[in-house]
Amino acid sequence: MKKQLLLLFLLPILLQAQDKFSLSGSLKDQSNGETIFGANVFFEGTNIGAVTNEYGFFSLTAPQGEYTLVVSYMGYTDIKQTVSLNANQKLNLEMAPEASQLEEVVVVADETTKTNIKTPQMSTVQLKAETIKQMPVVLGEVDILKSIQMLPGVTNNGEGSSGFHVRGGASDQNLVLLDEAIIYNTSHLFGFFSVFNADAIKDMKLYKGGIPSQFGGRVSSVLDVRQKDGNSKEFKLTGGVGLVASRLAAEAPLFNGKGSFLLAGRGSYAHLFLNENKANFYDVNLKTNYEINENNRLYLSGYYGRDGMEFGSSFENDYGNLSGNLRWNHIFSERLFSNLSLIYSKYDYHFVFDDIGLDWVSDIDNYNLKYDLKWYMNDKIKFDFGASTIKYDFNPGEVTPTGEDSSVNYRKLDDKEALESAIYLGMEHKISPKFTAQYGMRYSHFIRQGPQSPNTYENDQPVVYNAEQGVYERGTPNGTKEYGSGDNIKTFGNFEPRLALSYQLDEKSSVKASYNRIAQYLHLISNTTSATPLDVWAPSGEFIDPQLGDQYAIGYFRNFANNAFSMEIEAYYKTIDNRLDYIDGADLIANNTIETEVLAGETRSYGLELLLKKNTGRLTGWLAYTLSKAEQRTPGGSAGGPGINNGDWYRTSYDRTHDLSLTASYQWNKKWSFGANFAFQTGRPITYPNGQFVYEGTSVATFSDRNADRLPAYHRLDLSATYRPNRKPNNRWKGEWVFGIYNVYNRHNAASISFGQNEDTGLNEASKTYIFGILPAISYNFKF
Amino acid sequence: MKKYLLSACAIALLFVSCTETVDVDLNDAPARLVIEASLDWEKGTTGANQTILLSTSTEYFNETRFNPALGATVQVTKQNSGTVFSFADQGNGSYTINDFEPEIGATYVLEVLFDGKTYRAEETLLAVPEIDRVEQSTEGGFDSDAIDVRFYFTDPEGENYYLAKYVATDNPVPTLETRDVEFSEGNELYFQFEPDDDNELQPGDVIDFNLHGISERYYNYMSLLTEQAEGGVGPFQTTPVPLKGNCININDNSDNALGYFRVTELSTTSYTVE
Repeated sequence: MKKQLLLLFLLPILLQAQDKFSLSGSLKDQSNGETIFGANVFFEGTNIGAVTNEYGFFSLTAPQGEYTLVVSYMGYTDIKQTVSLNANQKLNLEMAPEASQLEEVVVVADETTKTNIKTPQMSTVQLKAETIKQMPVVLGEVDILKSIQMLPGVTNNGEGSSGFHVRGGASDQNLVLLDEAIIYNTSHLFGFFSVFNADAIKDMKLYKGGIPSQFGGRVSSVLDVRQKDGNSKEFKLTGGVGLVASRLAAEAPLFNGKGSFLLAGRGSYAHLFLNENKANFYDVNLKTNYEINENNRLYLSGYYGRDGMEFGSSFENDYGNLSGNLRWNHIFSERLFSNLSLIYSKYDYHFVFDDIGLDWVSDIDNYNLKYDLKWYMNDKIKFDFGASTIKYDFNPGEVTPTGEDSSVNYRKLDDKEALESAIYLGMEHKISPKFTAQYGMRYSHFIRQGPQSPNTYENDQPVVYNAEQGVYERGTPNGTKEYGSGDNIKTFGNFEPRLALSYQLDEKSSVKASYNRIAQYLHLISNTTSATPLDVWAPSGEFIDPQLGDQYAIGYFRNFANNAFSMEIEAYYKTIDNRLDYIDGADLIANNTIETEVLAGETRSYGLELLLKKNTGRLTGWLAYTLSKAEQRTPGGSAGGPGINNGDWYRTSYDRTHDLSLTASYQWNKKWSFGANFAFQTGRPITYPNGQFVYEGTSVATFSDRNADRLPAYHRLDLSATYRPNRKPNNRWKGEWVFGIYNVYNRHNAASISFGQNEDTGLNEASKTYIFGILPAISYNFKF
Repeated sequence: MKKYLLSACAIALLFVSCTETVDVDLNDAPARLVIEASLDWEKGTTGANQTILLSTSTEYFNETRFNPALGATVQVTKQNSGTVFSFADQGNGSYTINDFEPEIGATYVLEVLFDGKTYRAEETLLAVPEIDRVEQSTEGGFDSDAIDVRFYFTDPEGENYYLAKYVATDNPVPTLETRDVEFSEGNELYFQFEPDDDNELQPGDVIDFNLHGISERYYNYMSLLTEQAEGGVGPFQTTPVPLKGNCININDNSDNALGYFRVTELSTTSYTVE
């Protein structure tokens, strides 16, 4: 089987003649030296073209001859130049942003540019930081995660919830990468803000489906966020002052233009909430790079972010991500590009509860070594291949008494260790001028390692069904198994095929189809509606199998009116096996034996997405609509019994039948521009009471089937206006005022509806919690 | 543990969120039998007088929420002696007895015959420590201006579970709280009472405090009950699930009774806020 697969990959290579030459190089922004990712580079009038990679590298191969090289990227002036291809050659290019021609009336550099109808890659969105900055936002804080939720197939769980959901996937099923480092918690202040400082970010790409073989480890999506490299032309300061936080970023060339750096900081004001309670956050981004020579370049990037909270005198809490990445780009030849990365990332959560004298800390950290290569074999075939290995250390929790009078005892939950490795090979193959295919295979391998002494259970059942009372109960431990350091507790391996096809119907439209299978070996243990910062990650092991996701998608893509408009329609069907669900009354926090609280189930989701964009002109923006369903079911399995919720399918809390977003920005004149967002979503599924009884003098609710009801629909409108004052052409200081109104018509969107007894009357009542009413904001941004 | 952690998240949200009462149309489930069989043996008493309450469930917003279940046959059997205690129907949903014999460690079986159906439950009487002392301060809790009262007791070694109940002056809804000793086995522990802003303790208020030693199964039941009664805030809610007690319909376990049959020892004290 393996041999045949290999042959299939190699066959086209063997058939290839060798009278062709390659043109390779890197593409940068003329104004600041930032490499450009995702630009189209092609020979005019031929079918030969490429897209620049994450490091701005491209390689074209064509028969000997004269060509007109065209480079295009939305928001930039096209490059056209004649190239005589009679030997392999290098050509480093720089593009000028269009804005400078139009005297700073930024004719919106719209996100994905026009829809790319040629490549098989579908279900992706690439947004540039500039585009994100033009969207109205809550409290004036520009936010990548909020902006992607305006796209089809992406939702969140309401205001004040962290993370995001892609095509019916859970928030822990998104692989979130910041310069390739895994980010475990994407939120500041419980989701009001994201960890990504827009001033430090160059661009981001979200893969909702058809995920290429270079990515793995999360079943639902990949959010690939890249930091700026730092201005290699001149010293630059960027910053802003807002209602919640202030930012400052410095960039400058290093080593005579052979390198550059970016250092960005952002901090909220300490007393975000009045009185004795405090909540704040800050983060720092660093990036620096050095070009050793034409073929070798080093990058170092880092991120450190922290949230802190204090409530009264008794409670303190802080948490955050730390990541670092050292990369080495090496160009072997005109056609072979490589990158080696050594990555570290960590998330920790810490709190002190003085009242009972308790100090709690939990963390997850990982080292990741990764080697990725791209081989532009010829004008028809391109390979991506590589390997990676990740070493995880989990500390699910450690309790320390804070002093002599503490009422807690020292206790540490078992540390867990694991090693996740993968190799992959992907090939993009232009089968005919109209038909392109991307085949890929990833093999992932996961070893849960000692030292650890996990429990064994009677009948091998960590969860047991009590048939008489109709409840799932914790199994009875009957011993432990001892594993020494480095011993394998459990090993998993999965082949993950990926396939994407595109067929160009005509110059303007194409159809695409894709399939991917992905294994996910980590599980975020959380049974609240939305994940909380204190939730811990658990690796697969003896009793918990890896999640396996399969997704099928088809789509129709069209550019029209001279690329001013584009349209994307996609349909998807996604299933995930071994999705954990929690037994009734599960106790997940500070639990050493998570396996006694969970059962493995499955999820399925399907939907139809429409994205209609206006790419050029004074008015730009998009309309996104998603019709979808996301469900989950958990049979009893080895524990016996019917399962959770009687083993019936139920809606996940992020199921949204309708999800409509409209975002627009309008360039009125040189001084003023305006933005608007409108969002409408079906209400979140929720479980309402269906009766009550008296017990211990209180009213106790009985409940209907799980998530059978819904909150009222969610909708709101946001507006913003940006004012750029007159300035002298030579003045380096460029400032702008941003005025915004969030939730203009002050809808009290329900974050939740809870039921309980009124404390004064004792009568039952329903109360709605809403987070933001109408919320004006003002901020000032500058560049120097 | 979970409660402390989650309440921290919830409180952070509370500072930026608003709450308003709303009307919601609910579906109504058919009425079911509710058994509140709490045989509590207060320290220092004979424990001979006991009451079991039977009712049927009602619509959620119904103001008359106690619908007495009349004409039932209620009896409890003490397994080690085989003694059968028959409870007398008082005609108002309460069934009483005055010669019950509590014994630490003894197992009791409840049988209720109502509306042609037989319900059965079994529970063992567990001991509870004394309440050592009561302390009042303003330092504990989330609000450093509000009065909080702590009830101290010493956990004996072992896997113990506790239920506390506070009834305070002018507060029509009793407060219930559960505790396990996973992280604090064998230590001096306390339950702390600090009602919300609207019901802050005032000098002169009286708090009746009950402490029960309970079984693990009942601990799970009451923890879920109290957690769901609090409702949770916004995205940190856990999905409510049906509360499943230990009173089984012996012919049809899809029709078990609501409520619980518990047999506990009880320490009680009353404290007047200074």
